[in-house]
This record gives sequence, structure tokens and C-alpha cells, in this order.
Amino acid sequence: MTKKQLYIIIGVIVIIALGFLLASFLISRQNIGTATEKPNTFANFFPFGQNTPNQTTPTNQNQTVTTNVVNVTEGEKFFPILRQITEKPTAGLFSYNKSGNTYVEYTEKETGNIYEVKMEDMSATRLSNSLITRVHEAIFGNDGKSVIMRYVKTNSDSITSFVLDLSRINRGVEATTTTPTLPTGKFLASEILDMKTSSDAKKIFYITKSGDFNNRTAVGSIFDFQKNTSSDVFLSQFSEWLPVSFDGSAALLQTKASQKVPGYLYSFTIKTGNMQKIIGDIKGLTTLPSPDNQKILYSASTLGGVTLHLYNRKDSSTKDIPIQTLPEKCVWKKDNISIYCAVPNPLPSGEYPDGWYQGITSFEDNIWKIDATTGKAISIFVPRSLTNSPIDMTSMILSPSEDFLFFINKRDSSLWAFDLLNGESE
Amino acid sequence: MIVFGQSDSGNTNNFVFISLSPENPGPNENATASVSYSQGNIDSVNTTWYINGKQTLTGIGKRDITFKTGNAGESTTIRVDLETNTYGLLSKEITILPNTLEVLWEADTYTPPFYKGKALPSSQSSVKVVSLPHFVSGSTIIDPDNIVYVWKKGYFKNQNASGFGKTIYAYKTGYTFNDDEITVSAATQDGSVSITKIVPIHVYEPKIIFFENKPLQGIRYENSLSNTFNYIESEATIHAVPFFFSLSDLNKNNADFTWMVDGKKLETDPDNKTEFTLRKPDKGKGQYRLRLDINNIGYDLQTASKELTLSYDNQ
Repeated sequence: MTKKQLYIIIGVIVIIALGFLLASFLISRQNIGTATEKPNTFANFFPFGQNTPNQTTPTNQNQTVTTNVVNVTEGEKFFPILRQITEKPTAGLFSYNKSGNTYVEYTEKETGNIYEVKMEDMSATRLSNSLITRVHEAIFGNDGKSVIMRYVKTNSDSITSFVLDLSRINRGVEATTTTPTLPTGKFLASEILDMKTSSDAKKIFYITKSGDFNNRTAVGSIFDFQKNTSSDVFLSQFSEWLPVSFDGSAALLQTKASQKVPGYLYSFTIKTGNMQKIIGDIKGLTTLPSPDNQKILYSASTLGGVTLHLYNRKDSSTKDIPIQTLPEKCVWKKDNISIYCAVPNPLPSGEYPDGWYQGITSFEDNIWKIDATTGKAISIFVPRSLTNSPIDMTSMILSPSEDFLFFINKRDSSLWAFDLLNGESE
Repeated sequence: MIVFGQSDSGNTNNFVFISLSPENPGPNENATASVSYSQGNIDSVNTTWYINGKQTLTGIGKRDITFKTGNAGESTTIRVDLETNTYGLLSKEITILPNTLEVLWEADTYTPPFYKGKALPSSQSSVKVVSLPHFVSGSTIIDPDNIVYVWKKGYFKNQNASGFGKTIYAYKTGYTFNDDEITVSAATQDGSVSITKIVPIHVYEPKIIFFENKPLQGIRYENSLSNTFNYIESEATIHAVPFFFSLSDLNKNNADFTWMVDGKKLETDPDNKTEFTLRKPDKGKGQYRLRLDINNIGYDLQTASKELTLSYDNQ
């Protein structure tokens, strides 16, 4: 082979290699950032850098966790398994399935506007433009046909609860600035301390209180979304009740929690008026009942921390769960067996749940999964592997098909989603 | 909970005794009954247990049995037979009738709207203790108004608060941060059911926590302002929450709110004592110290102070 022939062969190899590199670059550009964004909705569907497959991240539980971080390609679009849906603060959320697709619907705190996001392509639509500012919490019910906006009047502590009728909004159709979409609504009783949607989402159970302190009574009422009526069903001389579950016939009522004070969980049967203690005399008790109300995930305060437990009402047995978190940071799957929990990594020493409720302590969470049958817990995702923002998860819900876990970051009230189908490592 | 006297059919049965753990199991609670035999080694005796007449466990040395109590007012009968060499068959039976008395309390102190935590009592604050009896006679639930209550604070019976249907006891905590010990005894008129509960109630110090009140978002109760607040906008409204002060209304109250910036007292709006809006200086870079003192007039030890550094940088 002559020198000339050798140079030609080397030149051809270099040109082919450069061609490969150029093609790879163009293909990678096509795969990133092709989501459909509508104006004035979301600033950042892709807040993270390139994902790294099979990262290994140490956790505070002295275990090595392998998070199966993958890039998900759906059609021509590309989404990370952890997605920030909003940057603006969110007051409440709701998920539904339509034509096989998962949607999340949420209320913006600053405007009360309602948006929906289709998770398949992350397309977002503003469904309403009726202005309600300073919404503290928004509770969806009636299969998404109603939402209760809860807010405090300026310079007062008076809580207003307003039920908005969403049945007339056109899902999938962008609300215009000139056509108010939510003209109808109804005020519920003032000073509703807390409320819980029924398991079928048709009703809510709520607690109000009245009277001066020594004669104060708490009243439990049921609001029926479809009948648009309320009825009183519960009366108590003790007023610090939080409804944590309501199946239409019984409400589970938990006493408000503090680290140093024993707490109790009761079952109140509406038909008989019978109150029956389920668990109690547990300092700092906070609870999360399973969908069938037969199991209670609960936390107990310790000096500087919390312990997590699972109580089974069928056999009165209790299991210790080997992670430290609050039940408010968890959600049950429909099977009444699996529980997803946000677990602080690590849990800072402090008074719980008081410090977290008072906003003194914020967490940085990982996502764990608990098996209620065995009591075992495994880490399934470390958000730090994808984002530099610490996330203190709250208001967790699952999509109806349980393919997405939605939550609000308590640090800034932003809304996030975790893709369970692609992100959960079994 | 009432355990009726242990019954037997002869003096020799006094050699057998059943104990319970917990001693007073509540309704629908797991409990363990253990048998002891004073005349020999129980581990060598054939033992048979019956729960509500149904044989449940039998064998040599079966000294314990675990069972679940019934609903409140629903009796559970536990019987144990011991086949002894010396005395033949010995039998012991107990009946467990779970009645309950729960005692809950609440303090009339301030917590912000939507707060899911408990309001804690502070010095001289009002506290209400509520008894929740669940007494059953036969199959009838006894009305709490037909139960006799005796309330004590420490060793002292409160005559006015005690009597028929007196299900609640209200009092004011003392000056100090000690425990108040409240005792309530609840009994049926015929004395057939009687339960006493003792509840320690601790007194806590009130405190101030700062939050940002954003114009459109409202008060950011989710995250408190701890040491330093960095200006992002041209002004910020700092909202103070007076946790555990005896304030029935956030603004209409007798408490003295004194706001200061770098030691200089600020004039406070009497209709909005809990907030201050502070504008960022137009130029330069620096910080200043915001301080709030709250003194609840008429409540000598209900005082608290809190400081916050506000930092700005226009460069």
C-alpha cells in the first residue's frame, strides 16, 4: 500500500467517524425538549440535566440504593421520571384518567385558577379563570366536578370554604380571558376547621366549632356534593378533631397532635352515633388509614424524632416500620398493602410533628415503599439524583391507574410528579 | 374495665389465680390471661382454656392464652381447668366487661388557621378537660349525663365541677410551668361501674414564629422565617404568629405587640398588630434587625420575643 492510499483510507475513516458524531448530536437534540407548552403556563418541564442510568446513591438508612433512573421516550417526546409540573404555588390537586391517559388537575394558590396537565405529553390547559386569591387549600371532590376553595380573609383568622361547581367547565379547552368559566358556587359554614372527602368522593365530612371556650362544641357535618346540602351528624364537647378518613358511614377522627401530648384515633359511626377508640395514648400521634380503613399507618413522637408503625384493626396487631417519617407524607395504594412514603434524609432532630407543622423544620425526602403485609420498607427513588432542589413532599396522591405519584413540595408549594411505571425499581 | 370477682366451685380452687395483661384491657384489645397455681409447678399440669365457653387451648403447662376483648359493654368469659395430681380438677373463671373512660383536654390558646397541631396551654391559660365515658349496663349504653363525676386538681376536689352529668372540667393553669394533675372518677349511680383516670397537663411557654405574608399567596404557613430574610421584592410583609398565647382573636385583644427595627420602636396599627410591611432600602447593601416583643396584659408570664435579620443587596 502506498502512502497516498494509506492517507485516503485514514481520511475516509475520520470522515465516517465525524458523520457518526454529528448524527448522534442531531438525534439527541431531537429527543430533548419537544414537549408542547402553551403560553403563560409552565416555565420548566425539564428542570434537570441529563439523567444518569443506574445511579447509586447512599441514604441515611445506611443502605445502598440503586435508583433505576431512565429516560422515558413517549412518541417523540422525552420526559424525566421526576417532573416539576408547576413553579407557582399549588393549593390542591386531583388526578383522573380519560381515554387511557392520566391527567392531573390543580388549583393555583395565587389566582384560584384551575389547570389540567396530560401526563402523556405534558400538555397543559387552563380550565378556569375565575379569580380567588390567597387560596390556602383546594379540595377536589365529586369526581372532579367540584372543588372547595379554602382561604382566610385578610387581617383575620376567619376561614372561608367555597364550593365551586366544575361540572360545566370544558376539560381540554383553554379558558379565555373574557369568559369566566366558574360562575356558580356555594359557601359552606364559616370556620370549618378541617375536612375529609369520602372514599367515593361524593361527600365531605367537616368539623366546625362554636360557642365560647368553656361551652365550646365541635360539630361534624356531611356535605353532599350532588344534593348540595349539609347535615349535622356529630357533636362533641372536645373540639380538636381532625377527620382522617370518611367512607360515608363512619369517620375516623384523630385528635390534633403534639410531640408531648398523647393522641387518640376514634371511629365515629354515623348511624349509631357510637364513638370507639381505635388506638390512643400515643404521644404525637398522627395517622393515615388504609383505603378500607382496616389498617392504620401512624407515627409516634420520640425524643427528637418519630417512629412509624402499622396497626391492623382486624387482629389488633402492630408492626414497627423501619423508617422515620410522618403518615401525612405517605399514600396508600388501592390494594391496601403498599404504601408510598416520602422519608426525610436524614430526619433532623426536632419536635415532631409540631416543628414540621409550624414550618420550623423542612425536610429533604426520598421515596420509599412499604409492604403492609411484611412491614418491610425499601427505598425506590432519590430525588437528588435528578434535581438539586430539596423536596419536602406533602399532599401525596396516586393517579387512578397508579402510574404516577403526585405531590406538593412544602418548601415552595410547587407541584411535582414521579413516574412510577418507569421510576420504581422493584 | 370491670373484672368481676374470680369464681370457683370450692376452696381448693383458691389455689388457682388468673392475671391479665394489660390489667385493664379496653374494648377490642388484645390481652393475655396467665394462670398461676400456688400448690405446684404449673408447667407440669395439663391445662385447658375456654373463652366464652369454647375450648381454645389445651396441653401441659399452657400457662398463657391471648385473646381479644369484645366491644365496650360486651363481656368475655375466660375459664381455665387444671388437672392436678393432688387436688384433681381445679377450675377458675373470670368475666371481663370492658367499659371505658377516655379523657381529652384542650387549651384556649392561639394557633393559626389550618394548623393541624395541638394548641398547648401556657401560664394562666384556660384549659377544658372532657371525659368520654362508655359505660354499658346489660346491652344498654349509659347516658354520660347519668354518670356521676368527681373532678380533682391535684389533691383538691372541685365541688362545683363534680356531680351528675358533669362531663367537663374547666380551669386556669398556674403561673409556673409545672404539670397540673387532673383526676376524674366516673361511676354509675349504683356504683356497679367505676373508673378513675389521672391526666397530667403540662404548661408550656408561648412563642413567636415569623412567616412571610405574600400579597397574592397569603401567609406562607408552610415555611417559617428563621434567622435571616433576604429581600427579593421591593417590600416584604412579616407576619408574626403568637403560638400558645391566650388570645381569642388575633388582632382584637389586650396583648401589647412592640415592633422594633435596630432597637427603634415602630408605630403599630392597633387593628393589625401581627404584621409589618418593610420596604427594601433603595440603594446599597446591608441588613437590619427586626424584633417583636409580645406581652399579654393580664397574663404575667405570657411574654415572648423574636428577632429576624432582614438582608438586602441592590448591587
